[in-house]
Amino acid sequence: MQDIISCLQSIATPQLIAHVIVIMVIANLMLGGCAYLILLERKVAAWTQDRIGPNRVNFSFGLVSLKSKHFGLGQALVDGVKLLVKEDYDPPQVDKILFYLAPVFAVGTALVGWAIIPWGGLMQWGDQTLVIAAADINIGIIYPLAIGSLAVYGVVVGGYASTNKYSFLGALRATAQMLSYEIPMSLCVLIIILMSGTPRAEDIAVLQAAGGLHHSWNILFQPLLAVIFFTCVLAECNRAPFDLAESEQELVGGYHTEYSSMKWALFFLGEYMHMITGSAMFALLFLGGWDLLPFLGALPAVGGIGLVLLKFAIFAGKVFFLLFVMMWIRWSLPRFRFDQLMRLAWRSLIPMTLILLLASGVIVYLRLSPWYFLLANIAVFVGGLFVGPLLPQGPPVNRRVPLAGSRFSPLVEVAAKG
Amino acid sequence: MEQLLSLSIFLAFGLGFVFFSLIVGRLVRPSLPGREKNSVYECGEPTIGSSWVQFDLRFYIVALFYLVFDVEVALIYPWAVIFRDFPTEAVILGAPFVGLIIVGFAYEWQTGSLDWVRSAVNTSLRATRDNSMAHLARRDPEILQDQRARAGADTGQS
Amino acid sequence: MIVLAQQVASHPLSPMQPLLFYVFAALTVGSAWAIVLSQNIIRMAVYLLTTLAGVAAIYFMLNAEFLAAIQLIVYAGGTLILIVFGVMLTSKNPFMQLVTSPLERALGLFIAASVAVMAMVALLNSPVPGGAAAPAAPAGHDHVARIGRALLSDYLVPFELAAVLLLVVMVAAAYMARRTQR
Repeated sequence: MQDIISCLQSIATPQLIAHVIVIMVIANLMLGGCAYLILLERKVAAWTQDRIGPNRVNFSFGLVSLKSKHFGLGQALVDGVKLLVKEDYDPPQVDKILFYLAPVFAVGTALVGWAIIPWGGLMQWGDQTLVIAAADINIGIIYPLAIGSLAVYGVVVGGYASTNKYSFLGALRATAQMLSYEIPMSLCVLIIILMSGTPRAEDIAVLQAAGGLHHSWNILFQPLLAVIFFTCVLAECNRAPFDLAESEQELVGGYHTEYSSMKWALFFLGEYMHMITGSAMFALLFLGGWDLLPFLGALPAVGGIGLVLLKFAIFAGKVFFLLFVMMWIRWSLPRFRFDQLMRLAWRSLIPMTLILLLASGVIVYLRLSPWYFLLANIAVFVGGLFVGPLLPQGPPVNRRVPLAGSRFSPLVEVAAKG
Repeated sequence: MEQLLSLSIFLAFGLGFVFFSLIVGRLVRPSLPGREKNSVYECGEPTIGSSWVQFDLRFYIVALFYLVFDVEVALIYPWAVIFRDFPTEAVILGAPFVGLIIVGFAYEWQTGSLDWVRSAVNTSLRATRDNSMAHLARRDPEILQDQRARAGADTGQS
Repeated sequence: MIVLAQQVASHPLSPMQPLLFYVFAALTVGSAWAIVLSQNIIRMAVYLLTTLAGVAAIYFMLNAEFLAAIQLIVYAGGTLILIVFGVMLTSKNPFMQLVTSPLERALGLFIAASVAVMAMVALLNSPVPGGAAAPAAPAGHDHVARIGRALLSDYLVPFELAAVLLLVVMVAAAYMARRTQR
């Protein structure tokens, strides 16, 4: 008995306890937060389209009578209950095992991906320095990319197992899209590693928070890279304007057409968790992680519990802002066409990041001031604008295809000929 | 070790949540299958053929390109990490690697294999238009007449 | 119990190590078994995914995080998706059942047995005596940096050759892409 207790005591190092606390707090916060993100999404949609949005459901749930409507905050909980009690039917034609595994893959990969995010920075505990993250992994920001490359399987397996044409085509599209945008995304991460000289998440945040003119948020040094990374995050999450996989006019629900109730909800949950992970990665790589303001170096790297909570609040605030931007984009921009989507990845984002990689290498080699990164970014952007049209182009695809008998068909030429 | 332990706790928590929600749902929710509910969902149309469509080889090509770039990026992560500490070696020895990636990419660009829409569509565009016009003229001369009149009116206006 | 206490004294986390190892080894071996027994080719691919992920977890345990990440990125993320696409592209029926003939079964058994014998011989001749746990790489923050240094010094030729090989693959892929234009 004594042995077991001492054994447990030795396992439960302060660092491990810190990890477990972070896991429990953040995982629950995320699961609850996703329900409210859906409400926020609906509110943002309503705001964009000049409607009111959900505002009726309060916390009375029909049991007590409350006068206040609580801004419709009860909606999220009621939606959750609805998803739980809706009929969950498995179509008879599906591959049962894979049909159940697909949503598990979708949620599992989305959930484990954010483990390295240093929500609270470092904490002083006695003579130890604890890392306030779910796991302190040496390979740092390479890890979410590794997990992210598995996210494809939720989609592929779901689309295959449904035995439905819409699901299958949606899964194919989503896979091609996620694969294509993963390359510029990992190149972006590579450039950040090259700049900072370390892949560790906490070190990258500390470097950006150091203060002074030469250590500031990476978005100030690499604005173009930040835009590219954000685009890739949107595409990886299958968010509009990149939601080709579930473009309802063409494919109904895409890969989750045959899914219903809780299994469908798990796909949805996975998407929202991906959004949170992507925003947290963006905040970490480009917005200084838990840093308050650029240039100031206002927060020390290591501190007590109060500092950890403050850092967490700042980090969460940044993530919340980015999530809002994602929703804003979703309800403002129309959807891409599939060939445009592939063109954007292969003909703009990848070459731009490759050239930025070369430029960043030169700047780091010559040990120039980081402001030269900004210059390189501007040069690549302007160069892309001017050189792009000179490069060999693909076939023009956006031509107006004549519809015989349509009022808009370009008949002039034909009429003149005939 | 410690990291794997916390990751495992994390994964166990996530999977526990997933299975819990699936099992609780299974206990409380109704199950009312019906003949139409059980058919493949295709917007109410009866299904034609198998769901197994022979898809385009282009998807496979995308996966192939992805794999190549994936391996390349994976190989240069360690290079990027030591770049700051050993800049001279990294530049001299890493330049051929990155250079070859860019050469390969340029070649792919040049050959047009990065295009989703290939030239076949483009060359037949004019033929398609002429064919459809001719077809229309055969089938329904009046519409064509009307179209011509309209087109003439349009040009006259502008 | 005494042995356990000694282990605890030597390394604080050691009692958890066997537990984690058995969990992930069971995952790896179980899903590898499932690949062999399954008859549906896409299911096999999914089980292969969990096998690869289990191996990655064991790499993780040996403090080879970078290798684990590469395992996930290159094999689980890249190669396997290529396999899945290839299977989807070539097979005629979604739920194609693979039927193994007795001859194939015997051949497979023979190959598996010879590989097992080979692995056992290699294991018994390995410097690690008595099948003890393999020595884990020293944990440290400069883990990836050490790989980088090795790539640019001792393993420079394979590193550069890999680039040439990848260029060849790219050209071949471009050729394939061109063939599909028609």
